[in-house]
Amino acid sequence: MNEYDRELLNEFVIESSELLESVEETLLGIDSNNPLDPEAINEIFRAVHSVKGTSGFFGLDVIGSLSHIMENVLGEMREGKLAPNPDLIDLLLSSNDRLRSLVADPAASHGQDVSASVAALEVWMGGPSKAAPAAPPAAEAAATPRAANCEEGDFVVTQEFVDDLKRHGQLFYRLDLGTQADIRGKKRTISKFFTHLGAVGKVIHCNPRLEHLETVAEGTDEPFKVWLTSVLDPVLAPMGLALDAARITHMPVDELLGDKAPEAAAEVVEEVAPPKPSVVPAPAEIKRSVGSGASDSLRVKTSLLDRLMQMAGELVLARNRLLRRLGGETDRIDGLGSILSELNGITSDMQEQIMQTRLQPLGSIFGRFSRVVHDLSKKLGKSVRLETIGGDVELDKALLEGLADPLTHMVRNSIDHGLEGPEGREKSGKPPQGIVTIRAYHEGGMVNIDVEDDGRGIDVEKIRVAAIRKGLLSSEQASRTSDSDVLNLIFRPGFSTAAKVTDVSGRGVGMDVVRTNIEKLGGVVEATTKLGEGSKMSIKLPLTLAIVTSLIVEVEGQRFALPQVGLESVVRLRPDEVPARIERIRDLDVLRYRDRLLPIVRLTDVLGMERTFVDYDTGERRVDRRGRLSDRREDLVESDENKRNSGSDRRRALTNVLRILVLRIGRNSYGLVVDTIVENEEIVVKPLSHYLKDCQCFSGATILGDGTIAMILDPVNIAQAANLTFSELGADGSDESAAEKLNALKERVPLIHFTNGGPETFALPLAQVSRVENIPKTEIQRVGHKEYINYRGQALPLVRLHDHLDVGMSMEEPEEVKIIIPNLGGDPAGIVTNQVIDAREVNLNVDESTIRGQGLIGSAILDDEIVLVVDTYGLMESAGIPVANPREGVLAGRRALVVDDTLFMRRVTERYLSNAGMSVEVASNGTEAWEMLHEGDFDVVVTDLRMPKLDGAGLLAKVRGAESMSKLPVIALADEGMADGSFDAYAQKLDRPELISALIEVLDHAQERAA
Amino acid sequence: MSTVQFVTFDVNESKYGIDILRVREVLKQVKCSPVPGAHPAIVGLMNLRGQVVTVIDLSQRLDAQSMAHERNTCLILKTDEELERQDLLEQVSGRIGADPVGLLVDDMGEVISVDRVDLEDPPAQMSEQERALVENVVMLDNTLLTQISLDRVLDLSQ
Repeated sequence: MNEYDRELLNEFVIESSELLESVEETLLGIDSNNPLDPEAINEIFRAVHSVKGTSGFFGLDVIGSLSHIMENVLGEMREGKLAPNPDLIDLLLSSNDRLRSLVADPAASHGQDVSASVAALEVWMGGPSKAAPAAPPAAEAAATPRAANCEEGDFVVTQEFVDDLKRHGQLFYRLDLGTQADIRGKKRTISKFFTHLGAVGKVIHCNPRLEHLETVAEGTDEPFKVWLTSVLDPVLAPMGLALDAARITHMPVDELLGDKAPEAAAEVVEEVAPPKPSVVPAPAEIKRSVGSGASDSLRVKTSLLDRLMQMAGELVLARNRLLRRLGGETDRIDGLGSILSELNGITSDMQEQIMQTRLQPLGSIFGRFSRVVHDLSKKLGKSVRLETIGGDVELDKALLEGLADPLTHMVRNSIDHGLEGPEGREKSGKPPQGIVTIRAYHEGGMVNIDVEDDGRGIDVEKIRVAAIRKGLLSSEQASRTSDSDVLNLIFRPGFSTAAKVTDVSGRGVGMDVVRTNIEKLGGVVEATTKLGEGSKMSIKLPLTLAIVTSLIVEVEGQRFALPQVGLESVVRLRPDEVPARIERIRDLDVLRYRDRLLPIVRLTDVLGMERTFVDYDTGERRVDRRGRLSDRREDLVESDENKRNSGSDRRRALTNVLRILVLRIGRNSYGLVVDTIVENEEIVVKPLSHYLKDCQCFSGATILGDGTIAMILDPVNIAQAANLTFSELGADGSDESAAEKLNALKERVPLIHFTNGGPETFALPLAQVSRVENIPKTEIQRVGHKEYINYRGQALPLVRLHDHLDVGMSMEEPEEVKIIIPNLGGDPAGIVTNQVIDAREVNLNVDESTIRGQGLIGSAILDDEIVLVVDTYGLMESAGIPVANPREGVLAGRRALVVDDTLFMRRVTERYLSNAGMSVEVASNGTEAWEMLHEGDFDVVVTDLRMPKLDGAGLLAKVRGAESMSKLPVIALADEGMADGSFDAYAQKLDRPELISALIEVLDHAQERAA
Repeated sequence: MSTVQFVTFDVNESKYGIDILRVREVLKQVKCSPVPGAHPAIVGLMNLRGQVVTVIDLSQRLDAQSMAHERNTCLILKTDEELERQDLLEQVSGRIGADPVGLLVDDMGEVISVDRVDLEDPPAQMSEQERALVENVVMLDNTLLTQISLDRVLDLSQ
């Protein structure tokens, strides 16, 4: 059997089970002496017929033969030839049970013997039916319905006919039409309509015949059927035939085979509607409304719902993030507040609605209780009526399934123990028929289900005595204990007051099992009673019970549940893979993951749990005191060392594999390191008690399959607790992944790399270069000690590096030199170089301690070679070339705080400002800056945007939020395109003129404001 | 009602009691799953027949210096809701809310009946801090029984 067939068969099982369930409901309805409803009989007749037809399709002969004889009996009943009576109904019920069990496992049905059931039913038919019971269903199908449905003009589908259709690629259609509705009502005549049909296909048969149709009076809508062959595709047929699609039934040619008459085949197609082979099975399929209580609905795959649930969860995460990010901006942007609250509402509603798709009405299990009542009342000789109220109250599917058994037991218990026999009831003046009521309703955020009887009630004193006898209570305790507490002892294991053990409810399992089951579902059950008037068992279930698929993980022997929502993947690294996949960038450990770099943290660290390891030598478990993943002391080089060590680390080797959960928060992801991944489990989320409201890392608790409790991890709050910062996007909404941001944190700086002919090589940030010109040596002119070139009609002074820096010089100057013209505002001077090696982006790690001097920022390693990074400004200064902005004077004496996470940038910016006469302090991130702002009195803040801990935007938000600093100007050092208008001013990194004019602007502006 | 019944127990070698109406059941050998990062008095969470119960170490609440030792006797309290259902809420003092909670104690004592008139205010020599957690005291034959104030003991923000 291929995958497709299996799927079809699966649908057959589901569909048939539903159909047969409705058969039972209807049969039980007949039972209650209701007047026989022909429509109801017809409905179950068709249900059984449908099961029979499809079983033939799958060659399920046993199911076919049982359903066949049931169908025949029902047919007789429908036609009034057979009057329903209790024995017959019982027989049909038990046959239906048999049929249901066969259908539940069609593969196993082949070996089953149903001859007894068949024979018993045949008795009612007055002897064997015309078709042999064991005959293949296909043959029966031909025999029965044809007689029932086709009064005249039948025709036979032959093999030849089918082959012919196939050969010509023709399809077979049945049209169900009305003379008025489809023809005359549309201003067509019968004959013209048939002419039209003839043009698009070939009419095989018409019932009633055409001649008859033409005699039907205008205005009367006489139904008729037409069988038609055509090359029209089913999709195009409605258009081609100019008919409503609902009128047209496509009958796959293959199903016409076997001796099936078209009518029978049509029935199969109509009622079971197996997906046509050319069509991908649709995830949702229209479910026929069968029987009472069932409502119009779609059948949707659970996996689809689960996916929807997941996405709703993600949406909620994204919404939360958005609210956090924009919550403070509502005053600044008109209408933002209402948009956010609308988004908030819609998202919550949607999540709730999607959760509700898992909900099913309780009514769907009420049906089985009618059966319990029917069977039991008969067995016990009690007359019982079952009343169900609140069948439309909905519960989670999983809850509902778990509830069926305990409820059944409670109903049994009510009938067996609760209700008196007919004489008993008469004596106490009650109507002979006892009533068991199942009532479901919502109350106080819980779903309540009561099972109530109007029987004799429970004698609390008897229970009290029994409890003492069984040693559950001392006699002193018993006298102290309240009636309601005593009554609820019936839920204790081994407690039964039934005078004798009946085979009905005294089966060794008692109310304690009921209680255990209900409690497993997170509910409580309680009994109340009034002696002589009846008793009531009340179940309370949480309404918001949410079932979440989660990954169970373990750290330090303790288990945690991580909801699948938000889990992107699990990465397992062998020790030898660790060096290649994990690297340290500043104070973050990062994981290389699908071309991205994700920050990673250990769950133990976030939760403040002590980490242990097993000592290789002693086998003892010891506390692991090695640096945490967030340890800040190591720099890049050291951590390289570290990584190499860890590969051969014995401890690591023992732990073996590093397991990292990749978690997604909105668009960002991070890795969470755990010890063990245990399994996937569907967990029931229980809210945290208020005692634990400070435990932000958990969103709830759950009871695992083994009874232990696991906390449910909250990825968003864990990221917060771990201080992970994903640099925020600018308001332009540029789409940057977390990895790109992390890369940016490494501060890749484009450098121009050049030599002056000596042993050293030099570098200059590209942002400080405005142009590079090729100048023939001969064009250099000397005036005194100074050299010039004629550049754009002006004399441009030249600077040679060896004149001002302690570096070697070129022995032999090339014929053509490269003049670097720095970007210092105007064109004050050119730097003479022999050769520009290249211009490229590098991760700059400036080492300021080793090589430092006037005109140099420091040195860096480029391709294993030391390059000297030139400080243009210092160079010009030492060459005596004025570069100051004429208005720079206003900056003198002003205090600036420079915030940048890279040393290089800090130094350059610091120097720019101090050269302009400002007094400068530096901070390496927003958090540090925030502290310094409280200590010192600053006139302006110049900050980088991308920084760990607290980024530029975060710092700005804090400054703006503080009353004392609301007027403090903040300038952002941004790369191009990052200016979003929230800062007072922007300047490109390393661009002195831009920064100086920005400073002049904001400080002047601030002065004006102050004035 | 002129008498009140106390479930008594020992914590840190002193005798304490709580109103028997508050006690749902007493469990021995309880197993808790710890909750990392929770208040130090919270021992963990316990699975009580499908219900998640927060277990609080009473000795830690009464004396933060107390050394943890192997206690595993746990008094499960009735929540306000449960008492309400049984129409008993009005008869007990103190409100603890709807979350199921258990108290870890050293040793269980017996149930004793005390005449309400014998209940006294906490003695003056008790520190302000101790007094805050005490509802009443009763002189028994030769020991002092302290009735703890559940709502304050369970208010972990204090």
